[in-house]
Amino acid sequence: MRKIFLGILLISLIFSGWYIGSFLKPKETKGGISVTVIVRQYRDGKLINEVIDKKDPFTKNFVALLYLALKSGYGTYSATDISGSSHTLQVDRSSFYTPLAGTGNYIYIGDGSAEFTINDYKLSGTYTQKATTSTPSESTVNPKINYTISASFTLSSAMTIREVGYSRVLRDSGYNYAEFLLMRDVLSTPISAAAGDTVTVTYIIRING
Amino acid sequence: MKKLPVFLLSAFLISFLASSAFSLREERGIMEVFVNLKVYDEKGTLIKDITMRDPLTQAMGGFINRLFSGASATDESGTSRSLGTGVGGPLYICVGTGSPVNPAYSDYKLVYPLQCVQASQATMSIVGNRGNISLSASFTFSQQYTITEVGLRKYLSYNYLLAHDALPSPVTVPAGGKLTVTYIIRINSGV
Repeated sequence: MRKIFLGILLISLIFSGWYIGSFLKPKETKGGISVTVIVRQYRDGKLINEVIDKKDPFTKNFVALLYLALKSGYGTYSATDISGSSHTLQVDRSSFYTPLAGTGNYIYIGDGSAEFTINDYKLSGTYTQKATTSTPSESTVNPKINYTISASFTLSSAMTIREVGYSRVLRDSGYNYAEFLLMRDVLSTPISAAAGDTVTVTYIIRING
Repeated sequence: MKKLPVFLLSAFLISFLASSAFSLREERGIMEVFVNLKVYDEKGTLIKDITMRDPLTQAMGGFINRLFSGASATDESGTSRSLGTGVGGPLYICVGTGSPVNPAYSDYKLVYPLQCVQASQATMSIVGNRGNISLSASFTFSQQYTITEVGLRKYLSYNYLLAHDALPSPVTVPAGGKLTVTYIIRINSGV
């Protein structure tokens, strides 16, 4: 009987120690940017599924774009557009050359599940859909600042959504415009969507978050 | 038998510590910015080496957001401006002697700037699925200074402070000594 009591006491102490410790919170994270992807599935106007992922989605094209943006004056980088063609992106001090002169932001959904690699320049699936994003919105809760980009898809046929991506149009050194994949994510949980379903994809880019 | 209370207390403490370590683990960003400072004396001997995570300002937010779409940011005069599409303006690393109070997002200038030096050209590397961008600048001082703040400034028709931080402890650079400041940006750092 005593052993049972001690056993229960021991388990209680272990659980209470863990429980009390779980109330401690980390100090505010500072410095850094996080990206959260939210995919919602609606049927007949009702939300029936939601996947929220916080991952590492940036492609080499994004790294190159940030790298060029941090250049002092002249700089170039060879980037691959979403069709697989290579382009030279260029910046200079006069801003005569700038990739950001291109306009057009798109979000993709696809049925591919290939593991993310930083070299991805397109979605991996054989079936993808593309939608123009809404105008990005900004909200601030000092010291955090959120940029939200989203797009909505109404499916004409059933598909299993396993991956999402974000692209934007950039201008190359020859003043040609092309679309470059800047983010790609494989969803933690695939979404089986039926024809007629509406799917929204939202990227939340959080500074200091 | 006398060891029983010690055993039970140990079980509680171990459980508490394990839970605390789990709860207090640092949440990692997907893109992180670090700043490293190296101080050399007049003979070129390294006398201090510190690295810290750097908070990003509203201008950096705008700067990053501009990579996705148009954005605005506050310049160093405190004026909010729409950022254009140009990106090739010079980049500076600044050091100062002010004492920022909770340096963060809303900062748009150093409290007391001492010197700004154009940074070396950024370098980029890809390791696995991670991207690294780094840039640095060196400062030499003819007299001794105690540096308390650092910042990253981009000129795009106007000066914008992209990152700003107070040093965890003041760094004294002796007369004739050298200070090297390096910014390191890690992308996909949680992979």
